[in-house]
Amino acid sequence: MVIDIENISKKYGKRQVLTDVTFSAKSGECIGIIGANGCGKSTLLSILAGVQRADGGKFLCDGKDLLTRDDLRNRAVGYVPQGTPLLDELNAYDNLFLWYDKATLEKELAGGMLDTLGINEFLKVRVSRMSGGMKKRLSIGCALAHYPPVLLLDEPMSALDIACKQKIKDYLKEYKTKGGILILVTHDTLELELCDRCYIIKDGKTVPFKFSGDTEELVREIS
Amino acid sequence: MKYYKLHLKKTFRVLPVLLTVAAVLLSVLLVIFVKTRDMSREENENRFTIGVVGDTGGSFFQFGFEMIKSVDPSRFTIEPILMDEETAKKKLLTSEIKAYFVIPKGFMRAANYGEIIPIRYYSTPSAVDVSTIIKDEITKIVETVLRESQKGVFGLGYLLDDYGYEDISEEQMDAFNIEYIDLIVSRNDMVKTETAGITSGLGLFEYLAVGISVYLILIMIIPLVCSNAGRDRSFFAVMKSKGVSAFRQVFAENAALFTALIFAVFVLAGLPVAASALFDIAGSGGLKISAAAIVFGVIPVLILASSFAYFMFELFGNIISAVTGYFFITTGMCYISGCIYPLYAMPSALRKIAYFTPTGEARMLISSFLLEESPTVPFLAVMLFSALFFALSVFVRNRCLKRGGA
Repeated sequence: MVIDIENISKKYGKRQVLTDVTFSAKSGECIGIIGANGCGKSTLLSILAGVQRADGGKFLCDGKDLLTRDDLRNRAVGYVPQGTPLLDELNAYDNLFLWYDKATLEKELAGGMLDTLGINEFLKVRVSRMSGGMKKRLSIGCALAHYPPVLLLDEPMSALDIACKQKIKDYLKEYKTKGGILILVTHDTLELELCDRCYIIKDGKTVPFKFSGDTEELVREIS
Repeated sequence: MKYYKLHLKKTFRVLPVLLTVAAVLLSVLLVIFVKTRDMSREENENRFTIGVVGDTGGSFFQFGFEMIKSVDPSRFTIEPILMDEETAKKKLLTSEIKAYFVIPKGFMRAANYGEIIPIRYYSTPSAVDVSTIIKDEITKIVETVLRESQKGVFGLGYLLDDYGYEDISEEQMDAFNIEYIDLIVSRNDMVKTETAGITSGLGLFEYLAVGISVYLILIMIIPLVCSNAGRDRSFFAVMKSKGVSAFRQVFAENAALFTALIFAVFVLAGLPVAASALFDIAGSGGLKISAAAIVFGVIPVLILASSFAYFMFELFGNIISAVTGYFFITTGMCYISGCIYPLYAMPSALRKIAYFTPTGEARMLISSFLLEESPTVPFLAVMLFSALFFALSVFVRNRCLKRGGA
């Protein structure tokens, strides 16, 4: 599978946030999107997820434009936004049940990807009583319903402890090796290690960037 | 459907809190009802002060007042007080008098010639029962006077016979009787009753029961919707990315809220009914609600309450501002629409505003069933307000999604 993002643009009132966002990715790749605060990283992800409409551009998946085909996009894309996209008053099982049918859910919990994410450990815990790491893993678990080949993640490891970050990172590596495409919006150098290619959003455009591990260089490039 | 079920489950988690809040509010309501009933009973045992306004100069009136004052004091006493109409209006609205009569100019002169200029009778909705009693009593007085007068007509016939006018007495008696019957029949138009205020027909008990019930529903919904305030909006973004539009999201959430509310109301409604049956709390003339009133009156009001509360809690950013804001807005709206204070005692400008408030329409819809009036207009208004609040909620959700769920 190949995805091509072509010339995506977005304007909020008079402010042009994105002017020309273009990049592509193939199965098993992870693309990192970095940039200064307010440069349009999260806007880009919400456009690709179908939450917001782009003013122009295409999101092609094997030649089909997902921005105009809601039905295809719903199946092809999993989205994990920055916040907590969960029902606080319900437990992990109920939240998963919203996205999975019962048989698939049982299967995934018994040795499937939800088991790999360690969700079994807190299946009956109410979201309002979960730690940040549990919530993030559960959010990813919800986004993975119907096995989407493209996973969009907005700062998935922010404000998590190292052990939790490692757990999520391990899972995302596994997702890649199974042929999934990851698009990752991040500020975290640990997350950048996952990425095969990185792009900086500058003046609304994507500029390719090779992360060498030098944080100072990254700061210079972003600012 | 799955989202509706899960939302319902989420809403039912706060049911114990809701039941506690509702039980406290219901206790307050029952105390008000009991006090109202006691006040009504006390009123029935007390003197009724009635204002008399207009052309009361004739000595015949003074005789009439004395007669009314002497009517069966063991049951109740009517005390007529002469005053001008402005004073009477003020005293009526402050409940210093129960009603007032306006005797039109030239009434007695017209009456002497067998013509009727109707007396106008003004009361408040709370004094409707009193009005009926007074009218019954006046009818009894008039009946007695007329019966005695007719005896006089027959006496006159005997007198004609005794004085040797047998040949004309029968003809004269017929003429007398026809004149007399004409006079009695036309006396039916003698009194015209008008009720002050815009809620004509309901007694104080029913009026407060309906108004406070609307307020109670709007207040007890708070525990059900308070979790909506300041929610993490990224959940809506994920729903949208999976093809669940803002309309479908809001519809499912509203439907879940409505289901929980209807469950809570009908469970709780059983309590006062049972209490009423056991302890005669509502009194013999208490609330009687038909199945039609529940389907076309109570259920639309619950739809309105859930869509209004949902919208308000969707609008506010955090739980504290949502609860306080909702409480004050709801209380203010219920006050100006006459739900917690009788509307007829308010300035006329406020009475007009009451027609355009959702709570005012809700109160009038339920009242229309108790009064057996057509509920069409308030029903349509309630449904229109519900649709408006629903549309506004969808608008707010859409606006949130256009910002990416932030």
